[in-house]
Amino acid sequence: MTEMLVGPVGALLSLDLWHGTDDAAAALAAGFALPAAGRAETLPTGSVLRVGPRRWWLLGAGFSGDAIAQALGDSGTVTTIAGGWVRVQLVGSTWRGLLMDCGLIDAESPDFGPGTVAVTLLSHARCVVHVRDAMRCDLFVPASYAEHCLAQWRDLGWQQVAA
Amino acid sequence: MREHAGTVPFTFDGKAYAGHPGDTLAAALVAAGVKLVARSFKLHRPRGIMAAGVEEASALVTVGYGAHAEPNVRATDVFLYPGLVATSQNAWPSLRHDIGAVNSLAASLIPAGFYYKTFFGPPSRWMIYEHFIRKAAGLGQPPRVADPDHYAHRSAFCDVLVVGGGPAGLAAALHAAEAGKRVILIEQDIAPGGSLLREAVTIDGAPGDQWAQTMVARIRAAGGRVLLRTTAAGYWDDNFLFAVERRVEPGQPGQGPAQVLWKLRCAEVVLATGTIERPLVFVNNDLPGVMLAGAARALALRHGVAPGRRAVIATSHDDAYRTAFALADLGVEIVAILDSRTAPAGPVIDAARARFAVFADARPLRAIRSRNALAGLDALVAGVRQRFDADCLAMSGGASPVLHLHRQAGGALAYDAARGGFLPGAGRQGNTTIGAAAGIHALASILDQADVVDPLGAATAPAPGPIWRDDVPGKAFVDFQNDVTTGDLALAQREGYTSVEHTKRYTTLGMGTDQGKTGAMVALAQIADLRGVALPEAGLTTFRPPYTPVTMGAFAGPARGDHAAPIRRLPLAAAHDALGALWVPAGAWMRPRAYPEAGESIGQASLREARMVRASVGVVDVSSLGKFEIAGPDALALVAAVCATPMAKLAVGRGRYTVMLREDGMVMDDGTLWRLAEDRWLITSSSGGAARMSRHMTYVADVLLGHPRAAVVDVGEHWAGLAIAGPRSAALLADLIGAPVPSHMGLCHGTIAGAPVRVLAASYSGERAFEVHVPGHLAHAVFAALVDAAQAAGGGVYGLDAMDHLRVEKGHVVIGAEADGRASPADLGMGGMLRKAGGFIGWQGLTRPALADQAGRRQLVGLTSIDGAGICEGAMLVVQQGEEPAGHVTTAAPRVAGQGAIALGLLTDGAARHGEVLLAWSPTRHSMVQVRVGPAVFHDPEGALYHD
Repeated sequence: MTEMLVGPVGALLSLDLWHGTDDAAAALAAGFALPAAGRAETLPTGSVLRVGPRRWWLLGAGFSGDAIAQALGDSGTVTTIAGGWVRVQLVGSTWRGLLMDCGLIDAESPDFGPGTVAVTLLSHARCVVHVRDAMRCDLFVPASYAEHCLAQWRDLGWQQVAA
Repeated sequence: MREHAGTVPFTFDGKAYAGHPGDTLAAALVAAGVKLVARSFKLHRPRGIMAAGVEEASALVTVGYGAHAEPNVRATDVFLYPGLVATSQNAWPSLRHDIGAVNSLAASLIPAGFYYKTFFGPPSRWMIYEHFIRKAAGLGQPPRVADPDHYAHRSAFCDVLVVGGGPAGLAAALHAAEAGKRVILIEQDIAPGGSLLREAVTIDGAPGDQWAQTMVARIRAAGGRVLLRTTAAGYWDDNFLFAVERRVEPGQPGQGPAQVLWKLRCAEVVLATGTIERPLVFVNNDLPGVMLAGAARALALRHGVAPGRRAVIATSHDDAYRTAFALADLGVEIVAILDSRTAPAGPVIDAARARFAVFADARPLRAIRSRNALAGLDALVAGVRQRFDADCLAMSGGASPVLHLHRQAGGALAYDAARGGFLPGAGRQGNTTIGAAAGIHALASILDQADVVDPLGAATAPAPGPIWRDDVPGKAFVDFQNDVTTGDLALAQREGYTSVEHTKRYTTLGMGTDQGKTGAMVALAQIADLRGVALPEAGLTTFRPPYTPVTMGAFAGPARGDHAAPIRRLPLAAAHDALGALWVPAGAWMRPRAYPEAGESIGQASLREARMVRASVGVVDVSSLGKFEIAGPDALALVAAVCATPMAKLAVGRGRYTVMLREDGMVMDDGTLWRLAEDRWLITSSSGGAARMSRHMTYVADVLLGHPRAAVVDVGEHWAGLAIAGPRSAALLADLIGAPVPSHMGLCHGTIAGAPVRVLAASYSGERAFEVHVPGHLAHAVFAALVDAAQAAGGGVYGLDAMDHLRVEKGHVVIGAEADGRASPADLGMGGMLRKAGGFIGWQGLTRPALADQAGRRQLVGLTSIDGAGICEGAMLVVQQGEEPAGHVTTAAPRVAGQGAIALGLLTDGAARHGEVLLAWSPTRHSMVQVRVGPAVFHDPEGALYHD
């Protein structure tokens, strides 16, 4: 049985850089590594997820948007987006299969291991998938779609529990 | 000989029978001596079992009962389960005594094309014709209640997808799996083995079926996935296929999904789809008791069932001889083997001659009917007619490789004259075809690494059966499901429908649920012969998915009922429910339409709410509006490209109304534009247009501007939006944030109920108004504070209908109604708002002469009902009834500030027609209202109310 722990996403910033050559400088300025495409990094301050070609998510209260924006200067920008997302933590051994029930995603790939990030449609909603470990996966669901998605996933056999 | 493990009870047409586990319904019925299984589609001719798999054309039955009933199930493609209930279809009052069989007696009156020649005239007559046509011909009845089963979707990815679990497919799948590739093997049967299930061969010392089971276990052990009872039904671009897995048999109630639709993305596809045997053409070749030789062999070797007591084998090649041995070993008397070849030779023929009467240059002419079944046949043997008594005729007119998926994938075909058919040519998507589907029949060639022992020698390529040239009168069928005969094909040719596509549509050839799997190549050979051309010149029809019928439930999957379409909920949905909101879908969103009080209609409620806003203050949820933050050194350039209004001089903390155009100059969306900081902007857009705007801005940034130093972040979900409007809104809001509110089109930041908010002074209602933006997860407290304050001030909440009334009165356009994709800014009265210097997307489009010259354009106007009657949205605007419309009503509303009814409309040359009286005429709603044309703004045209 896979359980869904549903709750607010917490602090969430969108970090956008303009050019690939900015990555190293931006990382240096921001003070943390920027993960490569499809990857996430877990830091003491939170998690950094790459969710687009030029976009990262900074998850966790340890990131200061103002400080990062100041450090980035003209090479990027930071935007607060926490209000728009709901975090669904999947806990259990069958979460890969469950993702593949409601989306066209290769969650069974050997490459889809801990630290993997994917942005894909699940139950018609554009979700962000973050693989935590073999037994745990975080889904970030657009808030307006959350009720629809959760209802469908409950029907698929996922058990919703309070976060 | 197969050993049976227990029995399985089932019924057919109410009579109880017992079969064996693993039997198909067809096998169990034949074993029970049931020969008559169905009535044909058009002529209601008696039909029995002809094939042994999904290619069965005739033996269609309804399986299950009540809500679980599934019509048109092939008796050869449903496996017994305890309590299976099967019912014949298209027969009344009974299968044996079917009144509809009178059609067969009148067959000469209803040839191919009968409908086209008979049922013409006024379209209304079709309502009568159709009733009787559907009564007279048809398949099973769909259940009248909702399908209680549920269906799942599942995606899967692999390096190698193998379609077909016969010997070639099994070997290919194991080879790939043991090479470390991710492999999926799909087999439509419940058991692996394919043709091995009907052959008396041993492989590596094991019978074929056991060898196949061992191979499956090895594939799984190597990490491969094997999906049995799964049919690959469609093959699309980029090696994307879909397959349908049956978890329970038709009509069988069960736990979990009844079927799973697999969406398969594969690096490589291997098609090991085998062949489908072709029938021979002769008179009455559809009688119960006449079946394909391979099907008879499958009954004998797979199910241990004898298809008759006295059998004749009729063939054009070696393979059917195997059937003679299989039937004889089961105790069936082989009356004769009729071989159409003049001098057949080879090991299997020599072996047959030693046991059976083999006739060369021999072929059936006419099957003899007795009591709805075969009693014998007349054959032509070396030019002499000869009669054989038999209750089973096992026929084979060659075999056609199953090329459906290969063709769906765009693969080429190669004609093989020796086989009288097509083999797969080059694949388009890196797909390959192997085994019998590729023309390789010898098991030892397919399994070159295995020890194959076939007592009858290596299988050879099947040659096609002889062409039928109406040697004797009667009906010789080429399409058994749609009752298409050689005579129908000849008629189509005589009447000019010579192209195979025309012949198909004229005769319905290949248009049944079987899609002509058995008869298509036979029919093509006949057509080619009639036209005097080679078979390839006769042409082929298109191979379209699905390969076999797929229930609509499988396509829908979980997207049914409440999940039929995604519904977007506002962050404050629960709060609106608590206030008694009535919901209305707006795109994917559900939004509060109104908050009726006791005894109020929706119309009364929305008008009360609108007047409340005009009189005091109202709060409306606008969270669904699109919101985008554009930030970076090049943000201004990006905003300037997207927005057509001036903004370069907009100060930080100020905003303005803006409009976004398509490249052709038409209005795409509208909203407001705010300068949050020197290099940070906020654009709002319509709710329904938010996704389009997101795509558009990404396109502009990445394609047109070449990745500027600016990011577009969709913050629509982040910010909940609450509009507060009315003459008391400014004071109320100032109290809540504890600071002065900004002037019209200004913004400020503050705190309400402990939550950080952004206040934008903008109005959509014509009143002084503000949008309060608050992070969605913090919105409840802010909403509660605003509503409490509004109610204390004599106001309250208002819904979408009231908002619409207010904006119509103010003359604000809405995307989709006034801005309908054909309206330019000038058409909507916004021409003066655009940047004179251009430089925005759509600017060049607006310079086209057709737009630069406004003459003849439909322009936004206001419409006032002269007698106060309500105006229909969508009504035509005409000078007189019956005239060509000069425009139409886009939105209508009751007058909020006053009485009567008003509307907005698009009217040809409308700007110059103010004062004119027209008719708003809706013949479909029986409404005609006199309206006076005027300016689109009915309320506060100077905008005085925007200022404190």
